[in-house]
Amino acid sequence: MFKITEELLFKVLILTAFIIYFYLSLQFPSISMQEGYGAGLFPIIISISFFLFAIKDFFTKNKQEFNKKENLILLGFLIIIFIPMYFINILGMYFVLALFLFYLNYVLKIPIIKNIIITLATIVTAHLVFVKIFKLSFPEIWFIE
Amino acid sequence: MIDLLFSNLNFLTISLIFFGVAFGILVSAIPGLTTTIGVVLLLPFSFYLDSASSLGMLMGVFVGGMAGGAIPAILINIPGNPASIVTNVNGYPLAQSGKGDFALGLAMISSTLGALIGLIILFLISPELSDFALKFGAVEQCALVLLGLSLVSALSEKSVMKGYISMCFGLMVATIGLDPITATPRYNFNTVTLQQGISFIPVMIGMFALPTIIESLIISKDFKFPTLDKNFKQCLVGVFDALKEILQSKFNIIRSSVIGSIIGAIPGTGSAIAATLSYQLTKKIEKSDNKDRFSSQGVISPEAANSSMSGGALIPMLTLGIPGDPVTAVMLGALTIHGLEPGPLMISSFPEAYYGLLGSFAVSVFFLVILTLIGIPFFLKAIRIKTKYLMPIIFVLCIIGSFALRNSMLDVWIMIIFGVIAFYMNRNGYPILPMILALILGKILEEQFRMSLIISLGDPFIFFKKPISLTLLIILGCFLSYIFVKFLKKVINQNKNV
Repeated sequence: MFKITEELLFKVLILTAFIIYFYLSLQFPSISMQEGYGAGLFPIIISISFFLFAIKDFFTKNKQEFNKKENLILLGFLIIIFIPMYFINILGMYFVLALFLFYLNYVLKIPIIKNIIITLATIVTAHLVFVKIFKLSFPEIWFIE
Repeated sequence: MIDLLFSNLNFLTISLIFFGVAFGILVSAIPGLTTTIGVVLLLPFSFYLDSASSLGMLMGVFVGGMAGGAIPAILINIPGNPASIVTNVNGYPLAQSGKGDFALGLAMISSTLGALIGLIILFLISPELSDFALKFGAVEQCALVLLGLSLVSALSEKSVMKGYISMCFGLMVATIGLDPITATPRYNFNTVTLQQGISFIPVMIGMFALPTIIESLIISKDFKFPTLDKNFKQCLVGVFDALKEILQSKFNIIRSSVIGSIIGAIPGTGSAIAATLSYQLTKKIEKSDNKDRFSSQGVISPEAANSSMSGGALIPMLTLGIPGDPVTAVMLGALTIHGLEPGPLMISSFPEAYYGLLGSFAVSVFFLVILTLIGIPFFLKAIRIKTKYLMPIIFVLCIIGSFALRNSMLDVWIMIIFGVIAFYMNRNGYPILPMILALILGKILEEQFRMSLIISLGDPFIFFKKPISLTLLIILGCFLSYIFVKFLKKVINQNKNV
């Protein structure tokens, strides 16, 4: 009987990824070239090797225990990052970056005045270096054409 | 011949080379910005400058860029470019043990020496080496990449099996996008954005940087980057110690530089494979009980190899007109802007330009020494800022660096997703280096593998019929047998103990 550990869950995820990958690699149209195989050849070779290694690894001992608290914290962090990122075309790059900086500085318990100064200074420097010198064009906030 | 080397140098050219080296170091020290981006950014200036000045400047970026990637790799465990993909493996622990100045000294001096050896090889045997490189067709390249990937995966410290799983995962990710031969869309889930594939730059940034950021920000808040409370003079003592160490590692430098030059001369291989192959070889050869001594060799080897690769990569570009990597492809464009035609006749048709370029390379190496040695105390000072102030800024730089690659938010998402994957891979003992290397080399491997099969009309034994690929496969076979025997011995010993 398997004990549910983080490592076991990770291995299950690896095997699931393999099954999806292998299934998709069988679906490619076989526009074969002179070698007699199509676009699925290389993915199928990888799938077979991957399966052999993954199945051997699956039956080795699992060590990493499941740490519910740490995983929940990580999930929370990712949600906080993903929501503004999803709306970046409306909020604009500068606003989203400032939001991240302010939030991360807050998490790290940097005093509020210092936090604001660091956030603004970083955004201005990023603008000068990446937009003015390296000529990047960041997504703008929705009301700027 | 020697006169021609420096005949084009004037004050403007020398100043631009100096600027190029400084710019190259700066660009590659920012994770996400590569030497290629640096060269592309300066390419438009070629239209307004004479050929010697513009090519000198681009050469400076090339040479500076190869060395600069080691700075963030050693100080914050994030390689600045693919060339420094293995420098952090030993460089970062050295910095953590309070030897940041020593580790940077090792990286910079070995980079300089590597570039110098690359230049000498370029100057002396470029026609012969380009003839040898021409023998590397699809079959040989495929065998070489396979050897490199297998070596890296098999030498993973925690578990060979996990190393190979990581490599297969990288190869899986590399197949996303258009098939290189028939242009069939693969694993793009009917989206246009995924058709162009997953670039390794955001993956590399995410996988190296994000686990550290997650660890420090949300898991253990007492995480600190290695700092060094030394003044300028004390830092120079560390650099002097590095010089002494390098003087005792002459064979490592020469071996790694020769490997770098040869790999560089083979079109399409790139700096990552030069650095990893020479690193793995050093790991096998340099057996020392002294951990610091071993770590030093692990920094010296990839840095010498990736810098000498820049000389090697110029060989096929100048003598055959075939660029060895993306940077030399851009430089080829710069040469044609000035009406120069690289190829077998370049030395006889444009001797001034050919030797002038080698002269610019030599001057770039000279400026590289000065800039990096003076710069070490300043790089260390930058890292002396408290980790809690640095982490959020690094996170923002990772986002911008990923976005900068193609002006695409997709790359930012990729960076974050792969960062989280790397966090769990690290926790569960799966090494991330084989995955990144497989992603970088996966496309080359598939393309050359399929090309080989097309050439042989579907005969897979083609790999055993060509002498170079057969030799490479025999080396691979011997190596894998050695790993297997070692594994069997371990199992037998465990059973005996039970």
